[in-house]
Formats: sequence, structure tokens, C-alpha cells
Amino acid sequence: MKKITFYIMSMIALSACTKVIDIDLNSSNQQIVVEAKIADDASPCTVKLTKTINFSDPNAFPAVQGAVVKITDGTTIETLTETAAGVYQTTSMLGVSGKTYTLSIVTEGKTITAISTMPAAVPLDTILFLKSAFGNQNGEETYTTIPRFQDPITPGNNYRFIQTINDSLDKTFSVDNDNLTNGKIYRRPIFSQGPKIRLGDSVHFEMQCIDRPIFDYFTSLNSNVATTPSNPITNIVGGLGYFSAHTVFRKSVQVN
Amino acid sequence: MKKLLFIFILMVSFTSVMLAQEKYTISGSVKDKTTGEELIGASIRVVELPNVGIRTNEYGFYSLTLPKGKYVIKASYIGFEEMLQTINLDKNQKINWELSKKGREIKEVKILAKKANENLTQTTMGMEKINMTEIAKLPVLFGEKDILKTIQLLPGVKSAGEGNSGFFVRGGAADQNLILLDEAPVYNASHLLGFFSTFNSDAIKDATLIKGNTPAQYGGRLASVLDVKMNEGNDKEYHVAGGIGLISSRLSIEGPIQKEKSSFLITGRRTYADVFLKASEKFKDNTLYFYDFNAKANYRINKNNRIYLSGYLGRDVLGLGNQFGINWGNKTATLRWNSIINPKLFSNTSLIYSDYNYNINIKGDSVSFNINSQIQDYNFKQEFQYYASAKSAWRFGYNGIHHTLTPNRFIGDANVFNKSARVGRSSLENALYVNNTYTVNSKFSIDAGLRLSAYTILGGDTYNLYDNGVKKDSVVLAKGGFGKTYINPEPRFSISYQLNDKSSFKAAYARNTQHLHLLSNSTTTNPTDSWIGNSYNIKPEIADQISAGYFRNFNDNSYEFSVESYYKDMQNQVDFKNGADINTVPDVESELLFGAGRAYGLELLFKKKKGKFTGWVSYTLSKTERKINGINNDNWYNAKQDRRHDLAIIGMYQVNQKWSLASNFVLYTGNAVTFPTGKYIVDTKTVFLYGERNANRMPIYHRLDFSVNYEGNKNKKWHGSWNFGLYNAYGRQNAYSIDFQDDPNDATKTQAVKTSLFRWVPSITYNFKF
Repeated sequence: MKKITFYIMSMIALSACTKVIDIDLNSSNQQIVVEAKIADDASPCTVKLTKTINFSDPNAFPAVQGAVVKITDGTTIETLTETAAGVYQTTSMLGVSGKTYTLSIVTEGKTITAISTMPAAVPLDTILFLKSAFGNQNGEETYTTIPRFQDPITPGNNYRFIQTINDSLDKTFSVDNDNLTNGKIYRRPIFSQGPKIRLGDSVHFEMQCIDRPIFDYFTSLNSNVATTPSNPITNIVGGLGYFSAHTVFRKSVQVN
Repeated sequence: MKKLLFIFILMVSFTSVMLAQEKYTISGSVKDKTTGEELIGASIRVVELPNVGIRTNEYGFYSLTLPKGKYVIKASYIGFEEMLQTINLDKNQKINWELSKKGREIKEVKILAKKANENLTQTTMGMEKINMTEIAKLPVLFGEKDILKTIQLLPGVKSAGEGNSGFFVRGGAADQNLILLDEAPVYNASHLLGFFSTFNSDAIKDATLIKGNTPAQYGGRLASVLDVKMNEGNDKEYHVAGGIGLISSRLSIEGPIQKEKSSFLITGRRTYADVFLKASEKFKDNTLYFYDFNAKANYRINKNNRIYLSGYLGRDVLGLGNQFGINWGNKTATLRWNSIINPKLFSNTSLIYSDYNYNINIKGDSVSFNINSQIQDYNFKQEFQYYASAKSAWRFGYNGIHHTLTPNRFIGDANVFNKSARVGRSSLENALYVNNTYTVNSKFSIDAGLRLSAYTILGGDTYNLYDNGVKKDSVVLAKGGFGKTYINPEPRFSISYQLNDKSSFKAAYARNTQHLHLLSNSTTTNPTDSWIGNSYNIKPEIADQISAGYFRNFNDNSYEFSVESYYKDMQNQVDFKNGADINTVPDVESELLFGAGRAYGLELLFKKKKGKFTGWVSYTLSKTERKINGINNDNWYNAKQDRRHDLAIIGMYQVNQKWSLASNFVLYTGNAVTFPTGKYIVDTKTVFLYGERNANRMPIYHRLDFSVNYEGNKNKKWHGSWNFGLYNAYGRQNAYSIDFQDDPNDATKTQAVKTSLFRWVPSITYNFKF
């Protein structure tokens, strides 16, 4: 809506302008950020730990090293090993649909925990590309990706879509649920902030089935655009970030 | 409650004691001689009894009861020649007055259309009458004169943002203002996302703003009432008036249907920004316009009965290519019947229809859907005004509204989307009220009232009960059945004590309740914010306001000074939870949070009312806070409309009969906002960390505007006038928003980007009348 407001204003006033400004912001205590995922694709469970920094600092987010990171599926426990600075991975545990995973991190005298349940897998059928309504302002045609698949009859499915266009990652957090489309053939466009998709580009598409807390996390993270901003609703207790146990389905397609 | 009842009984008994003397009533109406328009708030006074007088009501009617005797009665209205008439009051008499506009030689601009010291004597607090001729002179954005922008220059009223017609009164939210157009509630009073209001000044006769201490006949909103009345139409001769501006053009036609018996008025307005869009290669596929129509007709059945029919229709249309479209608008219709039952008893019966809806269309090759929402009212009002004596006037009545609210619904191709579970919900909002204005003596007067409001949920939907967003229980109400009823007594009370002929002291208390709530999670007001009624989770919002003020006039009422302060406590405030999902959840109530609010402030107003140079300075010092369970760790935080300081300086100078100048300067503390306190990384994307809610401030806002008005010769058949304006004269880049992002040129940095909207916006408008 804010975008539309701005668009209208630039249309009628042609006098709206933007300017980079210096602004004095409050600082906050450093907090630990968790990016943790376990998937059903035989890849290791990966936990990345970083710290928050002040707004005016350069974008170098310090890694949290030497933490004790453990994961359990209720029967077995595995301690992750630090494979790179602040990156911790399992060697044996693999993600399985239907299992609930508990993550625990002990570092700097603090304990951080998180729980996530891996939903049942939903297979991705096809990827379609639609000529974009908004992207062709300079006569240039751009495309929007539409994943197409059968949503299961039982309600409560949540999805996350990640696309990479010619090796550059689309950083948009794209999540959806089946509130409006339960049991139907899913085919809604991905509203992306870039990079642009043009004819001939190759698109690598990943569809994840995520649990509800992860849907809420990315939805609340995205909602900070035109509303009073707040920290997203997270499933991490004692820190920031998210822990997602999800299924994965990938497809690579060329736009033609 | 008991106390209040006691006061009522006391008043009634006073009234009856005085009726024991031999008394007669004069009654009638006051009209403009040239147009036949009834004058609202004209003064009828008795020369022999300086403290006795009455103002005409909203239909131009008055009634005054006096002991038998000989009197000289004076009728007056600002900008009109006063009239005197000697009467021998030995029976009830009907006197209709027709006042003529003052001649050109007395060229004075008066700020408010009321009697010279009315600010001292009227009992109601925080009430401002808005002068329509003055609005035409003040500089405004794009030269579109607008009552909603003019009221923002008054103390206690804050603008919702740059160039925005939305407003906040004494810490209330935008939806806590009751905006009435000929008694019909207007649910979204803005066009073009708030940059213009739905009120076409050509159609407006009178507007009154009451800041919270509303008399009992008004109800349903916490913060204020803006009561706008449309012109009736000239019942003597035909006239055409219009205006051509940069953004829009206006045209109105009025005249008699049967001379001095019935008349009509039709006005229309349309913007033409889309014409320029068509000329631009980049925007040629886009549409952007709004239009509105006001129409009114009235018919005098006989000398005691008159009916009115008025309506409004407005719509905004916005489209980007043929793939995205949004349109929204209001419709209102009012049928009224005024009846003078006897010289002391006046009745008004109204049937009112209001409708607001919006519709978003998204059309694509693979998916098409629309999102829409609607609020529709059928409203019945019966009011009596009983002029018991020269000292006591009663107003009592009933108001019943049948609401149908359809929440924003996602409707798409059945192959792709399920049918939305959201359906329209109906409810009944009933109210009984009584209000008495009583003049105890020449110094002391009381205005007391009680409104009893009842909101009943009607059947046809399932109502869920939530605890922190988790469904605990549900109530299934069959169609035709009745659900929960919320009953709220709302006492109101105000007193005025005249310290001497130059100053007075007033105090007031009012309780207001609100049964409809606007769900808005955005930082600005949007046409897509949707209304929701009370339910089993959502309780009526309640506000208690106390206020006190000191009023002082100087130099034979040429200067007015007032200081008012208020404290307001608000219960059952509604807000969305963080990251609420508004469009897709089956029941939007699962996304709501509830809490309290409080607001307090001091308002200063200094006015110069007479002479060639007129104007006012208004200053507000205030604080507004919210405490919502589930937001900001359940602690109090600044509401987004919280601003410490608000200053407006308005000056108007009448150079000569043809030329006049006007200027306004506004300065205020930036709105309360939440800026990041840090940043971190999630999946290679920089995201921001936030601390306490609304703990930061936008930069200070200030702006200076100018306008120059030229009036053509009024004696000619064709009367033209020009208005030249300059908005934001020194071109300050006030911040409309501040956004935080990665530096597009340097990925190792983040930056703050300020967006400013209007710098040096010139305008030119030509108005004509014949």
C-alpha cells in the first residue's frame, strides 16, 4: 500500500523526492541470531550463529564461535561440529517428515532453544512464468514465477519459496499458506523484489513445506514494510532468527 | 447515575414553576433574504432582557418563551444586517426573519459565524463552528479548499500526515471521529488516499466540530463529531457556480422548483489528473481519478412541515495497466421531515442510508481475484426539541441503526480459491437520549444529558472467542436470532460560569462509547482499512473525558483568548497483533489485541476577529499513549499520533474590496515512530532489530503557505474570483517517511532514506457564479 501511495504521489505531484539522511539511532545490547535448518534432502542440519550490531556499523555480522549446539529428534541426540566460523553441522542425523526436532545452543553462559516439526512433503508439479504487470515500464518485459502443485485436502499447509535467477539469489522472503486455496491446485505468483526475470534466464526454484511458526516468522518479518515495525514472531527462545524443519522440492527451468 | 437523575428532576421542576406565570411563545425561522437558505445558529435576542436569547437550530428554527409584555426582538447573524421588531406579546406569535447580507462598505472578515461573545456564553466545550467563506481564502494543497484541512489548524486537532485530510482529535484515532453529512455517517471521508476530502465546499453550508464533550444527541464515536450540513439550494432564483483548478473542476446548479416553496441543489466535482497521465508514455495505461456528487431538494408542505432529500455519491478509481485496479467510495442518502408541532415543540424525523465499500481487482493470465469489503447502514432518527422556557431547552430522541459489515474478503476463481469463510455480519445500534440546556441565572448555565446506547449482535454467523489468538469457544447465531447486547449509559455534563462580561470558566465531563472499529495496521490511513463491529471478543470502546477551560475576550470582543485542558481515559481499544495476517485468516478476530489508552493536553487559542487583519494562533501541548496486551511487553507506549507540540498561525489581510491575502504557518513535533536499534542477518538479507515501540520521532515538521485572492465585481451578473496559492513556500523537505535499507551502491553499509512529498506546490483556481 505504501508503494502504491508513493506511486500515486509521484504521478500527481511529480515532486516527491528521496534523500539519504543521517539519523541518530538508539543502540541495543548484542543479541544472538540463529539461522537453523534441517531438511529431508539428506543434507546436514546446519546452524549459523551470528550477533546483532548497531545500525551505523558496516555490515559485518560477527560469528558466534565455540558454542555447544545439540539437536534431538526425541530419540537420538547429536552434537553439531563447527565446520566454519559460527557454522555448525550434523554428520549423521537426517531430517524426516513428521518428526519434531529440538535444538539447544549454549554459548557465553546463555541457553537458547527452539522446536520445529517437519511437515509432510508436498511435491512441486511445474513452474510457469507470467509476463509481469508492473515490471515493463521501460518497454522491457519481465516475468513472474508461478509454482503449480496440488495442495493436500487437509488444511494447514505452509510453504516457502526460494528462487535463484542465473546464480543470483532472490532475497525476498516468500511464504504462503493454504487458507484460501486448501485442496486446490496452487498457482499463485511469487511477488519478488528482484532480481528481474527475463526471457532466456535460468531459474532455480526451491519449494519448502514449513511448519506454522516459520510461516509466522517470515510473514511478520515481511509485514514491517508499511506498518509499525516490530521484531518478528520467532520460534527461538532466548535469541533471534528461526529454526526450520522442512521438506524440499527443487526444479531448474529456463524462461521461454 | 442517581445524581444525574436528581439534576434532571430539579430542572424539570424549575421549568414547571416558571410556567405558572402567564407566558407566550414567539417562534419561527431565520433565513438569508437573497438565497432563502435557513441560517443555522442565528441569534434571536430580547433587547429589554440582555440575558435572554436563543440561537436557531440546525434547521433555522427558533422558539422563545417570555412573560406577557412588550418587547423589541433582535435577529442577527454574522455578516448580515441585524433586524429589529417590536412585538406586543399577548399571544403565541410566529415571526419569520429574512436577513440581508451586509453591504460592501462594511468589509470585515469575521472568523467564526457566531455572536460576538458566544465563546463566553455557550455551555458546550471544545466546539468550533467552521466558517465556509474563510475556508475559501486559506491556502491549501493544489488549491482544493477543504474543511477537513482547515479544522486541522484548530487546537487539539492534528493532521494525519502531509497533505492528508485525515485528522486526530485529542489523542483519538482517525476512526474515532464521527463525520456526518446531513446526519449520514461518512465512513471514509477521504479521496486519493487522503490527499482530498469527500466534502466539496460548494455544497457545504455549515460545519461544526465538537472535541469530545458532545451533547447527547451525538454518539457512537469516542473522539469528536464533525457535523456537516449541505446547502438547501436557493428557493428564489437560479444560480450556477463553479471552479476550475489544477486538479479538479467543480460545478453546481441551484434554484427553486416552485418559488419559495421548494428548491434544489446539485454539485459535482471531478479530478483530471488522468488526462495528464494519458499524455505521458510511462503512465498512459494507468487510471487515477475521483468524482463526487451532492444533490439536495426540499419541499415546504405547509408553514409547519418541510421535507428534505439529500444525497452524496463519490468514488475513487485507480488502475495500473489492466491488471491491477482499486476503487472505493461512499454513498449516503437522507430523507428528513421537519415539523413544528407547536410553537415550543419542534420535531425532526430522518431516514438515512450510508454505504462505504472498496474493491481491489487483480487480473492475470493464471489467477484473477478481488478483495472487497463493505459497510452498509439503515438509520432511523426521531428527535424532538422542546423549548420549555426562555431558560430551559430540551432535546430528546431515538436513533436506531441497522449495520451490515462485510469484512475484507478474498474472492477468486473457484478453481484456484476456496470460498471465503467470511460473511457479512449484521447488528443493531440503538440509542435513546435526552439533553437539557438550562440557564440558572445570568452567570451560570448547565448542559446535561444522558445517552443510553445498546448494541446488539444479530445472527447469521459464527462468532469465535479467542484467548491470545487461540480459539477457545464459539457461538453459532442462527439467521434472525439475537446475540449479545452491550448496553452503555453515557452521561454528559457541562457547566459555564460567566466571571464577568469579558471572561468565563467552563468545565465538562462526557462518556462516549464506540461500537464500530476501524481495523488499520498501517502507518497511514488507507481506503482498504475495514470496519468491524462489536463481537464476543471486541467490546465497546469507552472514553471518559474531563475538560476545563478559561475564556477571555479583549477590546470589545475583537480578540478572543481561550485555554482548555483535557484528560481522556480510553478502554477496550483495538489493535492488530504484530505481523497480523489480515486478508487470508478465516476470522480476522484471531489477529486482534485489546488494551487501553490515555490522552491529556493543554490547548491555547488566540484570535483576532475584527478589522482588516484577522487570524489566529493555536497551540497544543499534549500526550497520547496506548497500552495493548501483547504489544511492547504490555507497557505504555506513545501512540503514533502522539505529538508534544502543535502550532498553527493563520493570518488574513483584506487589502481592499478586491484583493485579500492569507497565509498559514504550521509547526509540530514529528509523529512517534519505531526506528531500528540494530541489525542482523537472516538468509543473507539484512534485517533490523527494534526496541521499544514508537520510542523515536520523525523530524520536526514545519511549513508556510500563501494565498492571494481576487474578487471580481460582485454587482455584475457574472461574478468571478481568482485564488493563487503556494504550498510549502520555503520548500522544506518535510519527511513523509523514513526507510532503512542496504546501501544500493555499497553492500557493506545500511542507510536511512527520507521521502518528502511536496515542495513549492503552486496552485491557481478560478471560481465563478452567475
